Amino acid sequence: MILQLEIWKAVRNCQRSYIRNKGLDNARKTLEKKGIFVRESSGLVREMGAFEAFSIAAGTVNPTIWAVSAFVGFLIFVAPGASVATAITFGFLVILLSAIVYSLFGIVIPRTGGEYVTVGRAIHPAVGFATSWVLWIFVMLTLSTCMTFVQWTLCTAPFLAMMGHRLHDAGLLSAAASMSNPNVIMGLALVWITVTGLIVAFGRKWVTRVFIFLWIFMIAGVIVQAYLLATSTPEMFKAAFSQYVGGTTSVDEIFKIATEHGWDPNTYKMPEWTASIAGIGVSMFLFNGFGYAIDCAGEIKNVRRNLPIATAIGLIVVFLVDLVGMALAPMGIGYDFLYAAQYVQSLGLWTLPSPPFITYFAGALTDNIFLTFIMGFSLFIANITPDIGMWYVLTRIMFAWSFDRVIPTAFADVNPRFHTPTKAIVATAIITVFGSALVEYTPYAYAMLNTAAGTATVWLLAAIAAAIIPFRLKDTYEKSAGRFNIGGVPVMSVLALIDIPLLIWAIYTAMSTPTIGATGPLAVAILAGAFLSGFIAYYVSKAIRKSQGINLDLAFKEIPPV
Amino acid sequence: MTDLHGSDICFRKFLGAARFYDAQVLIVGGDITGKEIVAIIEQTDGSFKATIQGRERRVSGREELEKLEREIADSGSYPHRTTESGMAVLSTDKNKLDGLFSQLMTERIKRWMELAEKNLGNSNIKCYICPGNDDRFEIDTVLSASSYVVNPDQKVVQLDEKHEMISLGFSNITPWKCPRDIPEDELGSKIQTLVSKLRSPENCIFNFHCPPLDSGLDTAPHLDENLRPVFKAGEVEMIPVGSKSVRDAIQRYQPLLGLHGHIHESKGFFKIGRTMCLNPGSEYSEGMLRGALVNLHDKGLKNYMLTTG
Repeated sequence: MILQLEIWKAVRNCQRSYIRNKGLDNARKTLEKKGIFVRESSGLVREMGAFEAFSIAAGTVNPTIWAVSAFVGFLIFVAPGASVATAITFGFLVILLSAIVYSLFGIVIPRTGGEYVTVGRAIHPAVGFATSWVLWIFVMLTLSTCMTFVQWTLCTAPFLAMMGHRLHDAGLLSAAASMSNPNVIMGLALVWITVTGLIVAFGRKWVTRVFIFLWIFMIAGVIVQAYLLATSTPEMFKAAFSQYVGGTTSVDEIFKIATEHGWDPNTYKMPEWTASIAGIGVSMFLFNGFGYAIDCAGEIKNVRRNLPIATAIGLIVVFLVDLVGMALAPMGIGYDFLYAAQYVQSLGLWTLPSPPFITYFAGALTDNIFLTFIMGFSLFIANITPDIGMWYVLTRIMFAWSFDRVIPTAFADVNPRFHTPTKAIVATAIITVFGSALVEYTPYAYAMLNTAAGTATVWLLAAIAAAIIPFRLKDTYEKSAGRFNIGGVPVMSVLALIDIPLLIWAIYTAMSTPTIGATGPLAVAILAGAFLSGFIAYYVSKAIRKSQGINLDLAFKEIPPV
Repeated sequence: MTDLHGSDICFRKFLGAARFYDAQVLIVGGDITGKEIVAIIEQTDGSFKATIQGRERRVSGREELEKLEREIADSGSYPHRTTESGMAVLSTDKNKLDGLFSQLMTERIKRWMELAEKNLGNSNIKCYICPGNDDRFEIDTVLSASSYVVNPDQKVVQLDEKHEMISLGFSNITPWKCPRDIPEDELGSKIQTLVSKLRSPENCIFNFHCPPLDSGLDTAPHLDENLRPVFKAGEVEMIPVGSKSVRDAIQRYQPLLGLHGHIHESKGFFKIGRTMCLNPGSEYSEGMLRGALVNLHDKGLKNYMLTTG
């Protein structure tokens, strides 16, 4: 028996060796055709396949039911009269440009460490640090909002309400309504921070298992919802809605409340093109997360070379799924009703146990409890993958700061058992708890902070860095695989220069639309203050390190060759 | 610094680093030779054609040709002017290709030694250049022949009155069976031989090209049997590939410092007991020189910093 096992092992090793040598030979032959001869040295790997490249790009920008469910209402409310399809398409095109600039940038300079490294190298270490500092603050606040309001009020309440309506269960409906209570939300947030933090702390294998499970349900939910909306009309929805909510209200009742409080169904819409363009400020944030995908590519060369195409393809797939899902909503439920519902909610007069989300409304279109569960559960879990993505962004940024000694090196310590930066994860968890309390118990987060504007400002600085890198780090650009010139002009710079005014406009839209975030001079001052605090933190750290004999400016300073 | 892989500009920056950082000792931790020859093929119209980073380039005239060759050399590759028939010979005659590699490698190392002697030969700056697992044994003679640069591989060298350094360019077996890949037990044996020659291991620097296993300094993409990166959940799967023997030795002897390279993606630092282990990573093909600045004093490690320049 043992002999058989040994023979089997030897055969298997020969097979592996044969396949490996065959793989090496094939790789070599491919290169020799191009006039490149390689020798026996490390690093010769096969080119990444198209599917793998695509999976990196699409892996973090998920076509989730959350996007389809929530954004339509926001979009229609912010830009009444907007064609959903047109607005999403405009938003997609703006983000696609940013994503291509980011991925070209990522080929020239590896993105391990994110904007801190890329902007730091292109402009100045202090600017790079301040950019990543602001990103860290706003991603942390976004994560805090996701742990509280988003997960429980926006994702869990609709799920509980849908099941409560279908099962005629007062307990579930009451639980849904309690998802507006700050104490309930904060308690659940502590559990959620612990659960998601542990998933990240236990390492990649656990994250992989969780992701696969979540994707299956999320895609199922999107498909079910899309089918129900595609086979419905506003009249069918109206007929089913009142019974769905147990007779507590109706479509006509909601219209009545809206009109009694100033809404005019005949005049509320802007001209379609004006509204669609105005809606870009909302629709472009549907595709937030492309930067995380490029971070994941790290320093693998063949990954980086394929990344712009893979990023574009990944975003296109997400765009198409979101487009279909979101365009169906006004067709199946009714454009005017969606606006009126958001309007009533904005006045604080919405009495149903769930916010006016598409998924919640789609629950009215089926009596099937299983389909209702799929849609509702899909919304319940939709927040988890972006949450985990944000955990990684936060800990990676801390890692990069720690490597360069800007913050204590303890944050780069890796747990020997789980191979994860447990100290950085714990620090992030503690700060997120405070952030969650700030979001839930004080008006400051909503009154003063505009995370959309903050994120877009980070993209803007990265675009500026991308525009100047071919000139400022000429040698690095000229030697990189990301060097694409047309007529001697760097394509990356041209695309970045087109992107910059669009991002400025996106920041302006975010800063002037109350539904997106805080607006006004205070919000602008807070954003500027966040950058200023980043500069202050960098120079304080620099002074402390200087007293220890470490010059932080040397982290990225290019050495003149002899 | 480490893992220059033949990059001309990186080596010239390495020499420039001495004065830039005001360093007393320069150390290259291994893998100094390039991985590929780029054929510059003469065309019938007198122009030349070469493929660099996946893109075909055409040049004509001596100036453009020399610029192209410098660009190839800066990326770590070896430019070789040839014809279509010459290229066909290299594709079919492995011995000839092998011989050409050895020739180009030794020529470049020789030129580097001359450059080092010219720029730093009259200074008090000590320069140690160690071969790594990717480097063929032919270059050892060239390194040892230098009047200025010291090849510290498998030797004990005295950095100053207090600090010794032992160096080892070998690594554990990789998927590519590189010239200096050896089994773990052999690697452990070589380490043991070196350590036995030390006066005080606790004040020593272990300049081992291969990083310790499972230290975060040795995390590389997981490759399948066809040498393709393995993907899971939309990400490249990363696994530890360092040496157990190196880790055991560091754990046992607790030197002052561990300097490592080998895994370009794993820039970082990691403490094993009292020993700080550093891997600056590598970005040689982009012409960026990654390094580690280390300050020692009588009490030990004063401070350190990872750089990209």
